[in-house]
Amino acid sequence: MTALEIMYAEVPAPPGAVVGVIEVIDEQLVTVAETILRSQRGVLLDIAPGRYLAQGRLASGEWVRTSFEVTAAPGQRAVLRGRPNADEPEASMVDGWACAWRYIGRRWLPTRPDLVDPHTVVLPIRASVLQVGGGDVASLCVVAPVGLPLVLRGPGPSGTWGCSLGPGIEASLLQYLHAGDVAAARTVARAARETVHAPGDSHNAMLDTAIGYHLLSTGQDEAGPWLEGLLWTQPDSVDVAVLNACHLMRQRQGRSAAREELIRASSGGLPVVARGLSLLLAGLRSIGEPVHAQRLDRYLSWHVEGPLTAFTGRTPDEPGPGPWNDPRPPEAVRLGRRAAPTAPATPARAARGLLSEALDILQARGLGTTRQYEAITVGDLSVEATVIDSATEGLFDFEMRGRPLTGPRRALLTGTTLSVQTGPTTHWLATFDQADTCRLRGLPPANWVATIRDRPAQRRLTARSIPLPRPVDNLVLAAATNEDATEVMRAITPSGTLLVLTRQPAGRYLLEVSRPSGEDGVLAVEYGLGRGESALRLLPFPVGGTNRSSAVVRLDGIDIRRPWHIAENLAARFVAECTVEDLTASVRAAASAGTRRAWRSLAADLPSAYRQQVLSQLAEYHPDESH
Amino acid sequence: MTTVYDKAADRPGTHALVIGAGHYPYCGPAGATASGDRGALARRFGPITSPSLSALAVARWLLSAQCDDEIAPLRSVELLVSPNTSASAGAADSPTHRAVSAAVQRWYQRCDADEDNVAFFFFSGHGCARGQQLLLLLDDFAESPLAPFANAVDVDPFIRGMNGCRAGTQCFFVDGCRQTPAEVLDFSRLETAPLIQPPFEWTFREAPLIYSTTPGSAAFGTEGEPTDFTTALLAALDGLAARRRRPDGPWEVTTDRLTATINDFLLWRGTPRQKAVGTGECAGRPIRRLAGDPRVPVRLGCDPREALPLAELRLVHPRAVRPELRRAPRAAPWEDRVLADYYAMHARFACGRFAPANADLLIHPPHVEFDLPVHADAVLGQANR
Repeated sequence: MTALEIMYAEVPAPPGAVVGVIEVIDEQLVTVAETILRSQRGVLLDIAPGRYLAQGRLASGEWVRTSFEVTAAPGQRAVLRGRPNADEPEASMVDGWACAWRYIGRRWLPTRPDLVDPHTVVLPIRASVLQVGGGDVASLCVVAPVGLPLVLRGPGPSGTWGCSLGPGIEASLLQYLHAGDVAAARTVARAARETVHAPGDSHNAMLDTAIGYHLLSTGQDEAGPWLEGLLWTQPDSVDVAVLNACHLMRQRQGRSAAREELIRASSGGLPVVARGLSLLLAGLRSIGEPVHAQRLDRYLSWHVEGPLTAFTGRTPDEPGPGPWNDPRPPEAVRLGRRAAPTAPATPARAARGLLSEALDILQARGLGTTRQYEAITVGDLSVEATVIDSATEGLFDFEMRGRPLTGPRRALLTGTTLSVQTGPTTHWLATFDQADTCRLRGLPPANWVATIRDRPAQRRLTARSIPLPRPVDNLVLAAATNEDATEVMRAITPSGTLLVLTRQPAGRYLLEVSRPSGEDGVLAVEYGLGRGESALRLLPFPVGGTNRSSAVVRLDGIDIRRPWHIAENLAARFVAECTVEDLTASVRAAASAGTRRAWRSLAADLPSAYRQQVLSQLAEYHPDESH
Repeated sequence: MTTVYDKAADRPGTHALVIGAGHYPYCGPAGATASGDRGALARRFGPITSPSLSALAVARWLLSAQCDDEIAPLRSVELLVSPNTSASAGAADSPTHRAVSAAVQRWYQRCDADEDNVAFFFFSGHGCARGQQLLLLLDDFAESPLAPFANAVDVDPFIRGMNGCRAGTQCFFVDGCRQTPAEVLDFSRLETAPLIQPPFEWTFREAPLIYSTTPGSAAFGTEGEPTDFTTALLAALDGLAARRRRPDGPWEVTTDRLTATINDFLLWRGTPRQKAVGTGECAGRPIRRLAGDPRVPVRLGCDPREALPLAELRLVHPRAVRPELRRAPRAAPWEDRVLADYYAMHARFACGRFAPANADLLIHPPHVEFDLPVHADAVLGQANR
């Protein structure tokens, strides 16, 4: 068997997003595999040498097909390219607006959605309906999950606004479920469950719910335990209540419990999934609750086709044909080319510049040499810095807070990473939180050098990351002339992970990472190579041991003058979403027996083809350690 | 008479109920007698020919293709079609409510006899939706001016009623519009006479329910022909939804591929006016085993397209176990239905402007569209200079 990487090359979706499902057929016309397809990321398949056809219809409706031949050689790839549907003129979104709504028990309150770009919004916390309107057509109300991108489309030939989940595994699964493409839905759900073993694992409530719908509609025994998990992780979800009611209706003893769940669901708002509304109504009628059913039935009368519950409505409580002459709600954001993102990007950049100036001032005042309190104003930014005795004698705790001097209080520094250098190679990292505050504990007294760290501008590591300090040039030069390994940088992340970068005599760099034992997840580090490229290395950690566990990786080709960053505590599914090159290079770069043992252990949690890839790399490059 | 086939056997199999309603004598401008909204509603629905022809097509397919099936051989067919076409006149009883109710009783009892039975339900005719309700209008719809929907079938209770039937596989195909006429909005609920009293408790059954169109949309047919959905459904059942799971193994049609295959076929035939929707409960179960390889629709050409009018195209089986297929030079793509297999596609040019070309081509359901890359003939090009 050979590991084949199969990928979708078009760029309409974020890299790694699951965009559909394909089947792989051999020369004897046997369907040998059914797999998900990711945008610009390969999916590994174990496949015997031979000639094959790969074909499928993506969740977007696009048909993809390619033929390829597999040999015994490693590193083969099959690329599918779509034929885009006939170009439809992009419907104008000028004069469009979007408003979020929160359900607070019998009432809906409007609130402002987060505008990611002129075509994409995100519902804020506790909102559950997005309304899109404008252009003299009936406004569209969509019941949507919080936190996931919602892609908007202007009124097309049908005269209706459009809204759908952004590309991703949950969107693909819901689309296939909605279309009744059971085979494709099964493939997506199976892929999801290779790394998501229970609700909550994925930190993606919509995906967990979609899996619940799939398990119930296919009559699988896992539906019961999965629904129990959903009830635990999403106790207030209408969808979960509906699914639970359906499940109880299958239990001989569950009649009264099913009735309770149906009543509860009908009082809790609307389900996100359109199928859930149909199930709820059918259930209410079956238990003889016509009043509840009638109240919800009107939503189906003005239903707009799609996997999410959607209807034309003046407000979420008033479904109807429209259009209405009401002005747009004051909380609405404008869409289209006149829209401006509501995220304060410009003010944040300006605030970082002001913070940098403030740090220079603090440094000039001897930051870190003694207990101190400093209040500095630079432009519109007020910065307070406090250095106090730490609980450990002889060390300091440090806190910094920023706030705007004028205008409403708003977060300007959230997510910015601060590096405090306390010695030639030692850096302490902290990240400003939602309150624009960052803290560090147990720093040694010294003339601290505090700087803002930047992530690489073009990066492949898209998870929330921590930018790392760069080694000081003269230390690197000194290390170059040293015949022994020399430490050139040491950094401690906000979570207490210690990173030590050493330069080896042959010019190679090793990164040793140490963190408290018992912490889960993989660490990823992205660093710059020459010619503007970057490399990504994954680092699993050995399980067990004493207080801390340690892993070591070679950073081949690193250009230490360029920004680099890490992301911590990544789930195993992140590994399955990486490219084959990154996975292979990471395994080969494992620079300690403990790290290689950790890879062997992690491989057990990976999908089959990825597991084989990891084990084959370990066997090829460290055969003495293989077992 | 509605029972057109009854091979009563003690072994399980497929029991079909096929309905095509298109006469509607109490509807249309001539037939509607009620006043107000009820009258307006009845006048909205007139006679149509496609449903009767669709039901006949489905029944004929079952009788020709499913009788000897190895998985679920045909055991019975209840057929009710409106007599409003020359083909359907006299073929079976009209789908009035009384006749349908009696047919449902017989069909239910046959299906209920064994949990390995496959219940096959097909309806084509006018449909009408209101909120969650979708009603299938039988031929005597609006016979009672004050209660026009008394002679209609509410899909949801019907499906839920069938959940009480022991047949472990139940396939429902509903071919009708799902629009909401303005007149029904004034009614709080559309009251129908139930065909089956649904139980409260629910047992999982392999029960895909495939609608011919999306909620709120129309379903289309061409006068004098079966509907687009019916044609696509039969193509799927006939083999396009089939897959082979092992070398030299059989091709089997499974329930989980029906909807996607129907929609693929609708797209293949041109810009579809409608999109089928699959719902219900479905894990994927085989319902038919093909006797041979399926025939796959193909559309073959050349790249660049200007080479096509000059190209003699051939499909050749590498081991010559299938006859060679040829197409003389023509401007239009080569459209045909070819047995699924591995072929070599050849292009030959008598004019010499292009060099001969060939490529391996795997013909596999649901369709194949391929333009063979060809290149200008370099040798002849030099000679011409």
